Amino acid sequence: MKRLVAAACFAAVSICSHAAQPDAGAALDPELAAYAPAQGVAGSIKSVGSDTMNNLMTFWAESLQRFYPGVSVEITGKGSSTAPPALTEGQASFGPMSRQMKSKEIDSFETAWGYKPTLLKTGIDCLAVYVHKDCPLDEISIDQVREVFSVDGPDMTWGDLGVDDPAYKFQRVVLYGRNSASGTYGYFKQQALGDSDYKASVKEQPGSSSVVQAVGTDRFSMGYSGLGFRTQQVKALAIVDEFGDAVEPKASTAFDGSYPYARFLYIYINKDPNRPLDPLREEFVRLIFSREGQESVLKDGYFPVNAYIARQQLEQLGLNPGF
Amino acid sequence: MSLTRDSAADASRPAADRAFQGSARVRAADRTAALVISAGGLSVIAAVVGICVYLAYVTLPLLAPGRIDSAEAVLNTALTTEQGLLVDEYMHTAAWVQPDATVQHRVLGDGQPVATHRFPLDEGDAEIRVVDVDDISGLVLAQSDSALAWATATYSYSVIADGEPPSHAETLPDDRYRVARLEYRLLGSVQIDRPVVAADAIESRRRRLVAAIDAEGRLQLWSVQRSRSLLGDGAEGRPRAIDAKAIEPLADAVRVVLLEDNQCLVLGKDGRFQRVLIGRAHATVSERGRLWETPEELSEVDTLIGDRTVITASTDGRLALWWVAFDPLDRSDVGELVKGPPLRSVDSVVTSLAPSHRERVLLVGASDGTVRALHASSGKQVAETTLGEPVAALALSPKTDGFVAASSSGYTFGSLRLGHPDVTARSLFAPVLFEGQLEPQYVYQASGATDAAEPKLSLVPLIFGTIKATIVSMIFATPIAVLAAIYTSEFMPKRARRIIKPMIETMASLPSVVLGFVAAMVVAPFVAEHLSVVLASLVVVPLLVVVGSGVAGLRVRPSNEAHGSIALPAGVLAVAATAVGLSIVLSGPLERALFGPDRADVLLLAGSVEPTAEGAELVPVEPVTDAARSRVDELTEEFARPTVGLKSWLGGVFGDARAGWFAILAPLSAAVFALAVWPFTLGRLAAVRGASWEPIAKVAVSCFFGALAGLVLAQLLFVLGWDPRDTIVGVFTQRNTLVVGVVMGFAIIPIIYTISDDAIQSVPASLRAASLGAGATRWQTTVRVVLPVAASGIFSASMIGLGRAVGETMIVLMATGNTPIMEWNIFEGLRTLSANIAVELPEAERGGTHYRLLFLCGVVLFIMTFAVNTTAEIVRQRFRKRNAML
Repeated sequence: MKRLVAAACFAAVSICSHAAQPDAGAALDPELAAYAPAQGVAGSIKSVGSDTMNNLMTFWAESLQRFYPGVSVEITGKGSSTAPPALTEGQASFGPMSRQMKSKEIDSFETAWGYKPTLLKTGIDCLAVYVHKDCPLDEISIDQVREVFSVDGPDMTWGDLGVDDPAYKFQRVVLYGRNSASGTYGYFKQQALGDSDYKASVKEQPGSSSVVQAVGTDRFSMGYSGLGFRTQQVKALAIVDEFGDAVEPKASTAFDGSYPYARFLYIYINKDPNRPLDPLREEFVRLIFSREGQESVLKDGYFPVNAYIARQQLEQLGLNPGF
Repeated sequence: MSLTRDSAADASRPAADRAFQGSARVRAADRTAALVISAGGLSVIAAVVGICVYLAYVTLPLLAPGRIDSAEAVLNTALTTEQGLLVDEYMHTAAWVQPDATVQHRVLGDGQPVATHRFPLDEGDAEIRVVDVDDISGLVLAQSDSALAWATATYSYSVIADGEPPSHAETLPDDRYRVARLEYRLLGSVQIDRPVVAADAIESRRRRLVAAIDAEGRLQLWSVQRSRSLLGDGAEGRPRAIDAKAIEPLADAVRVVLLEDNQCLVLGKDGRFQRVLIGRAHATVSERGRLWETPEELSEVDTLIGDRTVITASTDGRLALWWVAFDPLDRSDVGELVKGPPLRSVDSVVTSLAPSHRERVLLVGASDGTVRALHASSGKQVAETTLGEPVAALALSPKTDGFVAASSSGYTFGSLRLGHPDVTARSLFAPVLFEGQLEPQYVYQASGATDAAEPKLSLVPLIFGTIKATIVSMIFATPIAVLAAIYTSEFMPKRARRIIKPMIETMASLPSVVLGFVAAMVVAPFVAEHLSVVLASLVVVPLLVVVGSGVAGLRVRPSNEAHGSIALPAGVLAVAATAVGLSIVLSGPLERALFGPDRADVLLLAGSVEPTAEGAELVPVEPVTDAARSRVDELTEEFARPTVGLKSWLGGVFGDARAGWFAILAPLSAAVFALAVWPFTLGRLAAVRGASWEPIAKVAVSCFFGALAGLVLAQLLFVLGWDPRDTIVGVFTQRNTLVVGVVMGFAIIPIIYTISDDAIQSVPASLRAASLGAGATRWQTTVRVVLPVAASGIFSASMIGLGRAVGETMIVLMATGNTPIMEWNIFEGLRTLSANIAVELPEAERGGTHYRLLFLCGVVLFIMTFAVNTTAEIVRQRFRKRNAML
């Protein structure tokens, strides 16, 4: 049954997703090295976790299989919250997450394995607030986002957000979001809602692409999702920050932190701090932080990490970055 | 087992009987069959019992109480513990914050010193005094004569696999050792000109706030901007004072507490408080008052994880929770301090509070030596233990699996098991007052991204959603399925039935995920786009089909041959198609007439007129410009577009209750009239019974009286102040119950149809023959003879359909938006128990509260379907007993 949902969601993705236009400001750090394949790598990789990073994991898996045709990869992406249980129970070797683990999730992992999971920052995403492409609204303030989506504000019409178009002014803003398994759901709750609850009327979609798809077909709707899911049917709003500046979600604003909902895309792995990583996982991690790996990040509509971060991540695992 | 009993019975039978059973081979086959069948039956029973046992096995631990086990006591430590105690994650070492803000890091088990850390502020010889210690973040605020400084004491751990470990290392399995190190790092400091009596610091999203009060109760505030860059290390800038000069000092102020959302609470010794809102550069008082009216004094104050809830203890042993709540409907609301659900008070004086780092749990230590663990959301006491001496200080381990309690002679530490404190009968089934809210509510929001998120576990919205989806889909499916069954088995030619019945049954083989997908991607947008047409056809199609059949009844003789003709179904289809066409044509004018705005509404919305103070009169806004006129025209045009007027009316933009009540009640009254009132009264009075134009007259008169009743009732309900927009209709959203009802209806129609059809088919042919032979028409035979006999079967068909609807998952999962709302509004979404399980199970940690709660959802679902099926079975048995005489 779950497979079928996944299939259905995948169909939705294929129907409506187009690779988002890469941002002109987002470029690969020239210091990142090209991937140098190693010898004798085989086995299988299983990844369970984020839906936001599902396509990205697939891209990386495909590159890995180009270098090592014998390697098999299985990727499930039903939401970041599915990663910690899978890692704890040993069902997955990689746990992509679009939020950081909660302390309780780390506790369970540690109880099972005796050490904490290792956190890798693999890319950068802007969580975008989407509206239908024909919607006259172009920007929204941080406070308005909180009022619209959280129980702290009343049910809003487009007029409340400053839209004067008669077709919109008196219509209720219809809200779409992710289900609670999603890291996007959690991160948005934390950053945009100030940890307040979502309105019960925010419709929970099983995948980020379904959110964008729903917003694209419902012209009075608003939803949030990763920037990698942007399609022609929707438009990402600029966010007006506390200083009154409208900030577009793009690479430069994500990096300097002026876009308020920028975040890292993480991968958690189960690594014993006193043992080296096995060759297969080592090569996968190296690939992620190579030129090819970060090109995939760009291709999927997210922003690559720079060489400094890439180096940090590899060194953290006891690997020599080589650049 | 059953085999031996059978053979025993076999042996005792007379020989002639045995001979009748045939050859040895047949007997062997019989025995094998008996064995296989009883084994199958037993394993079914075993499976059902096994599932029930497993459900109980997973859900029953929810009721298990927590436990505190105090293990070891270490005496004569020569440490002062009142200031603060920071325990490491593995409960191996702890750090005692001393009055001079030095930190003594020691091994818990034997009190062996690990290290002593001085407060990292270089002030020469000046005396440093600790002001505040935050157990959760490890932040220590201390002051010298001229400065207030804050530093964090944080643990880091390393595992040593080989080599000689230091004596304070913790031994792990496999000859490994873990060493806990404490780092004491200065974060910032500000100059002060007089000593402070209390201070607090909080780390919010983009700035750190520091607050201090001096002996006169004057409040001072500083904010420290934090680096926003993703690539940065969260470096903090220089502290900047926030202007709080305008704030009147609170006499006898003893504590200051900073909360999230820029709130600051200054607390006086006698329970008076002053709430301050901290802006970017200025702070203002937003509320003043008293926490209690009685003469008790404040004894202890702390905040729960998330820094939104304050716990206070007063000298009479009473504990209370407080938070700032805002009215969500009033955007200018400054909020008010709200008292949370009651916590059990202590018989003596509360001496120490220790909040958990992970949950909304706190440990309360008292002067009578008791240590109690309380859960703040449910008010439930999780566990309790008594120590020999008054508790001077308490600390919880970061993982909330252990505690340290200090007394004058030393300290005791031990383990703590919480169980599942979030789950109580009240938190599942009664409205709960949650953090930050004004009123108790039913809320389901089981998880958040942070530890601070309070789980809201009310099952009521989910049960409500399940019932709502079921009712709506049954209203749609049952009449269609049962009427279709009656038609195919009683009236349709045999050869057509041989094709139609399997076709409908094939519908049942459509995977529900496909139906869900179609509902979400096709039906929902279609209904949203053509709402008025869809609603109009829900009324027009049945009406016209009945009229059409009536007209056909005039022309076709009610002989048996007539039913063999294909003309009738074709005719009905044609009429239905015409009805849809008519709905398309009629919906526009109907919508404008019933749900369009009147001139005054448009003028008001365009801002051309304003209501007077009395609210009765509208006065024009002068001067009337061309822009204002064109605005009115624009709006008029917009609301005249298909579905816009209707959706705006549903959203409460304009219009009153009458239009809605009329649209709902007129067709209903007409139907009630036609079905219930006519046959018993008017039909007889009018003496048209049996006349060839009876059906037409019936429909016309029903429509007339229906419309009349609709008008009267609508006016009546309007006068009573009831609005349908608060009940069964309301704001329109694309993923709504109507769509789910229709599509789920499609999923259950085949089941209800096929079982009803079988039930009708199984009515003995002799009954039909007798009825027809006595001169009854086919219709009379069906209604008076066949249906009463088949009623039990039809009823159980509906119940099985109902059972399927209750448990249906994929359609509701994909087509509703899964919003746990408690409204009957059929244009809003819902969340069912089954969809909730499907959505949340992958994220639930095995054995955790959430995981067990989802199994509890399964138990509730099981109880619901069990109740439905049992009712169905009882009713069916009763009918069957009655019919057994036939």
